[in-house]
Parts: sequence; C-alpha cells; structure tokens
Amino acid sequence: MAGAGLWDWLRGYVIIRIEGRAPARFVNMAAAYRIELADVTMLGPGMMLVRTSVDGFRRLGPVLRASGCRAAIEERVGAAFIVARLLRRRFLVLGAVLFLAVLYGSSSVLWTIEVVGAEPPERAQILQVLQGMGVRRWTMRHRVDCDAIRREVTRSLLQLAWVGVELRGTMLTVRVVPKVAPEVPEGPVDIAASADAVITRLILLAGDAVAREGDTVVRGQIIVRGRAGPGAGDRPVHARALVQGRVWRAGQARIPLTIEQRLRTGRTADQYVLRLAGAELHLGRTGRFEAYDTEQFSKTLVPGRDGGSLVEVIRIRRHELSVELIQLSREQAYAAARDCALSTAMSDVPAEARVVMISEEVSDQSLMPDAVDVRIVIETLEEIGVQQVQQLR
Amino acid sequence: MDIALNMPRMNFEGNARLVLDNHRGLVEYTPSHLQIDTPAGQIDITGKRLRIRGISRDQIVADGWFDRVEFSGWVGNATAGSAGQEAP
Repeated sequence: MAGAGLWDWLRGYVIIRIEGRAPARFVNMAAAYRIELADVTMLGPGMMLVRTSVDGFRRLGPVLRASGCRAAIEERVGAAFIVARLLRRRFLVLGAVLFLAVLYGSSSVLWTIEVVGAEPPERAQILQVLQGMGVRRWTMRHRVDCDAIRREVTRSLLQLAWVGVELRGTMLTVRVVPKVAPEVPEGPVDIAASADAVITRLILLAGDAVAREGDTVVRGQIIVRGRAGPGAGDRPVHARALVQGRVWRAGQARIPLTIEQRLRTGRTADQYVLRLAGAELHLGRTGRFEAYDTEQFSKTLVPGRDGGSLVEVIRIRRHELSVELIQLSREQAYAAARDCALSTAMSDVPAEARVVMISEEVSDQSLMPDAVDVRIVIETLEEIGVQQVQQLR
Repeated sequence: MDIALNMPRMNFEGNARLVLDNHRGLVEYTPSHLQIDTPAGQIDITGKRLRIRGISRDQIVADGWFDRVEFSGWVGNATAGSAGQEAP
C-alpha cells in the first residue's frame, strides 16, 4: 500500500485521473469492491489522480458508474506494458530471440584449441589424440572432458612429463611439459680442474687418479683419467670423484687522489632529427654546453621493408654537466679502491665456495703519492673437479 | 483483536504518517483536511499536503504534515450496534 515497489512495476500499474462530483465516494466504493488504490492525490475540486493495478483498473467500471465519476488513463507504467509494446513489434522480438540463440549457440562450442609447451611434431600428435576423442573446433563444450583428455594425452605421448587441460570459455588449452633426460656425455669422461688450485682432498669413485692431494693443478689439467685402472683391464669409464681444492683469486684497483666529478646541472637542450630514407633534417637547439652527456630516443613513423625505418624521428637530449675536481684523502681513496678490488675478486668466486682468507696489499705512499693502489687476494676452498669428455688421442 | 471488537486502530509515525485499520471510508478529502469515518466515530485531520498513500477495504495510509487530529461523534461503547457494518 506504500509507494510503487519492484513487484508493482513488474506487474504493471496505471495512473488514472478521476473526475466527478464525489471523488471521495469513488475512493470508498473502490475500497468496498476490494480495489486497492494508492497515491490518491487531489488536483482540485472534483479531480484527483490515483494509482491502481491493471486488474484493479479493469474492475473499476461499476465503481465509476455508481459514483458518477469518469476515469482517464494518464500513464501506464511497468514491465507488463513494456513487454506488451515489444510483443507488438514482432521482428524486434524475433531479432532479439535470434541474437540470444546465436550468442548462446556460439558460446557453447569450442572456438580455439591451443597447445602450449609442445614442439610442432608433438603438437600434431596431441591434436591427433584430441581428434580421436572427438574434440575439435566446433565441438560442443559439454562434450569436452578435461580429465579424460589429460589421461589420454599422457597415455599416448610417453615423452611428456606433465599435461594440463583447461577449458575456459570457448578456448581449450592443453599445456604440456616434455620430459628432459639428463645429459650423459658419450664415451669416456675425465675429471679436470676448473681453476688453478692446490688439491686439498680427493675422493676417487671411478677412474684412475693422476694427481694426488697436495698437488698443484692448473685450469683444465686432468685430475682423474676416465679408465678403469691398471688392475681392471684399462677399459674406458666415466670418471667420478670429489675433488676439493684451495683456490686464490685476486682483484686490483687504483683510485687517484684527485678525481673529476661530472654532475648534471639540470639544464637540457632537445634536438630533433628527422631521418627520411637516409637524408637527415636537424631541428631544435644543441645548447652549446661545454660538457654534456646525451640521451637518444627514436620513433619509427614508417617502417621499411628490411625491418629498418623509412621515416624516423630521433630526439637527442643533451644534459649540461658541471665538472669539478675533487681532492680525496688517502683514507677515502683507500676505502674506494678496496671496495672496487674486493668486488672484482669476489665476482669470480662460486656461490658454494667457502672463503678461507682475504689478504690485501696497499701501495706505499712514497712510491705512489698521487693514487692508492689496493690488491685483494681471496683464498677459498671449493669443488674444482668438472667432467670433461676425453679427447681422442 | 481490535478489528474483532470493531474498533479502529491508529498508528501514528510522528505527525507525518497515519496507518488506520478498520475504517468505514472517507468523508472528506482535500490537501488540507482529511475526514475518515470509523465504526467508533469520525477522525478529522487538518494539516498541509495531506495525501492518501493507499486505501483498501480495511486500511488507509495517509501522510503529510498533521497539525491537528480530532475525534468527533465517538460513542462510549464503540462495539454496540456497529459490528458487521460494511463500508459504503
């Protein structure tokens, strides 16, 4: 009985104007006839607006006659009237139904089958397996059983380690990961040194050791030969051994006590170069800075046939630099040189190596008054044996 | 219970809304005056922007700005002689 709600809107209602000598009598009689009226608004003497349902309006005839009032529809509101209007436009309804049918139909079939992670021959095999299962383009989506496809592809292609099947929308995606066999070198394999080192421990598992603990070896030198040994027929084998060695790596850096510092002042100058089939047109200003660095951005407007640019715009931005000479103390120069030398030496140290000792040598001030030279030596214990295919002799 | 005794039941929400059960119809209705008949007597409401939000056989919902509510012609025992009467 309150304002028009969703249910009233769905069923549809009419707003009618009642005119007559006794509109109150009309309202009372409508209530007596169980016709619900709402939003009864007086417009003036003998005239009002009321809202009622479609069914209520149909039953108003006797009430109007008995009360001596006239009714005129002011407005028809609600879904029922919209549907009725639409139903009168048959082709519109037909088009809408057809559109929904095509939309539903086209979203119920497979549009794309994608195979990810497979080489072309495997891809063809997978598609063949899918075809064998009746899964191809335009197959109905409800006929696609992802679990069954995954099982069948895994069973049919033994070279695959993992298969995943996903149906999303109208696209079927088959993701595969092929098996990767460990690389086993063919023929006999030696163990060689990966760096210049002193062997600290050697545990022989297979092969014939040609070096011993305490020996100094150079990079690439054979430590264990890939043969069974004198007592076992001297046949070729894959040498296996754990070889640990002490390795020294050095890094050196020299920092002068007077250095040049170049900083951007913030002033820039842009120059544009229009390059057209080899010819160049320079626009803009160069800035005429005494010292500067440049940044360059290019944009191809018309690409050429060879993959290059037929028409290209290049922006050259020059940044003005202020150049200052800075005097460092020996301590500052030493710290900078040490950091630099240490990072150089550490750059070659493997992650699994254990650093045993770091030693450093600093240049003498009397010998080198204008700079500080630092040499860092890092001593590590690490695995130095690497497999190496035996060279034919 | 009130309807069984044929008594009107009024529910005011402030001076802005009235829900009246068990009425016998409108006597007068203008934007400034609303007179409703009930089995116990008449209710006169004067105010501004008075409006019938809904009316059915048993209930009237009115809103607006109520300045004054008066009860006229009410009898001591409202149930006597009024039970079973229909709205006009």
